[in-house]
Amino acid sequence: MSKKKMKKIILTLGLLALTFAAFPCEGTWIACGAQDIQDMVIDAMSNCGPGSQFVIVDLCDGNPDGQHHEVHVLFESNP
Amino acid sequence: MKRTIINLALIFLLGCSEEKSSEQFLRIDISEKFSIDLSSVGLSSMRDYPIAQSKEKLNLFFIFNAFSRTIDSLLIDEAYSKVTNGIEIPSEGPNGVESFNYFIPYENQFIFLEKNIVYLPDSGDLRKVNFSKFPLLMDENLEFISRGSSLADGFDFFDYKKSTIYLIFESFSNNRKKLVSYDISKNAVDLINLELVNEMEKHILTYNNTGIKAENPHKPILKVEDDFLIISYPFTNKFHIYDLKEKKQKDFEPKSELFKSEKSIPDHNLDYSSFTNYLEISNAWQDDIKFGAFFKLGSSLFYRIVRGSIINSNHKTYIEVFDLNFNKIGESDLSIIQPDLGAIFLPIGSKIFVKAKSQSNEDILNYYMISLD
Repeated sequence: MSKKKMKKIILTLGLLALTFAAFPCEGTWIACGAQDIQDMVIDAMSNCGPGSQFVIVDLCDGNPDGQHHEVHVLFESNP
Repeated sequence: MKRTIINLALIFLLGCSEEKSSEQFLRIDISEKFSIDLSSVGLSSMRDYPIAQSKEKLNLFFIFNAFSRTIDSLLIDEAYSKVTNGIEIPSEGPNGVESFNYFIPYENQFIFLEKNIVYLPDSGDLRKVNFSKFPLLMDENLEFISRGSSLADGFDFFDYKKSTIYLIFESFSNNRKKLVSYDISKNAVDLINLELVNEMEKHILTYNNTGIKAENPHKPILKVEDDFLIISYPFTNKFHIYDLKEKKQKDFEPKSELFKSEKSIPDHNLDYSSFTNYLEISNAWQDDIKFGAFFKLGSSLFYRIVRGSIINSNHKTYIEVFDLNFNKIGESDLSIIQPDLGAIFLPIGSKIFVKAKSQSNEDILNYYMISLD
């Protein structure tokens, strides 16, 4: 294999690795119902990197004082 | 029309105090319902937002409007309240803050907090400090700032006099939580020896997957006062005062004649058949009694709001009042006086702003003002 071709392959692989490297997710996310929360967590498992920490608030559960149920999600930093 | 009730509040005493009487009166006034038009800034009265209070002007609040990414201001006055569009917080660029959970005003700018990052104003710019880079925290596996409820109802982490941030950090692997101080001028962290309640372990509901976990909002609530910290919990009446000068902890367990002292301990032997099944159990735990954050009221009192258990979509709202030594001096059922009280109770000098439960129009924020004598 020529040096030029090798370089091209290494660059392509590097670019792919960068593309697939997931960054940690954070913040407060809004969901509607338990199924929506579950779907969000499944999506996060595919798309969020180690060290993610976020809270999902269920806006559709209608607590009488206006405060909603929530779930805190954490990803291990160095699994 | 003002509704006034003189409330006979039963007071109990922290055990050993002999001088206090067993009964005292709390005089509580709840105003008529007031309204503010939010339409000019695009905030919704049906949502809750990260909120911070001005230190100079107690009736001025800052609200992060996630829709416009601006920090809007809300000036509360019984006769005249107004909301104003504020500065935009860019998500990218040298002064960008991609995401944040809490913020407070500081030197005409704001300090922002994210999962293990603090953004600090620095000569007109923002300086990013990543706590995960401090060896002291790395050695202890303290990876995350422990987030309380998503409703920023009292989380107060900054000592303005000493320019020091206080936070509770937690470890992913073992639920361990530690109190940490961060001195801005020295750019140094330190661990503070605080002993949290043992009951916390019993209230943690975890759904585990490999390397990922979901938890109920059981985290301690931290409040910085002048020379001490108040650490309380959403699930128990117990709280701690940590004296920053003496470096000593004092524990309190104020009794009540009106409500129970702790959430029911969840059954940890349950095998969650699914994630939605876990959520049901976590939600039931959240609907049980909930103890709010402490707030200073005027110059001589502290208060805490306790939301009773939610049963058939109804609940009671109680207030506990403490003196400056954290002796409980009164308690009352506010929902007898006004059943339309929501979940946000913020102090404005000697009065308390309460978001109304009923918000029929998202452009109009309804609220009440509570006075205590």
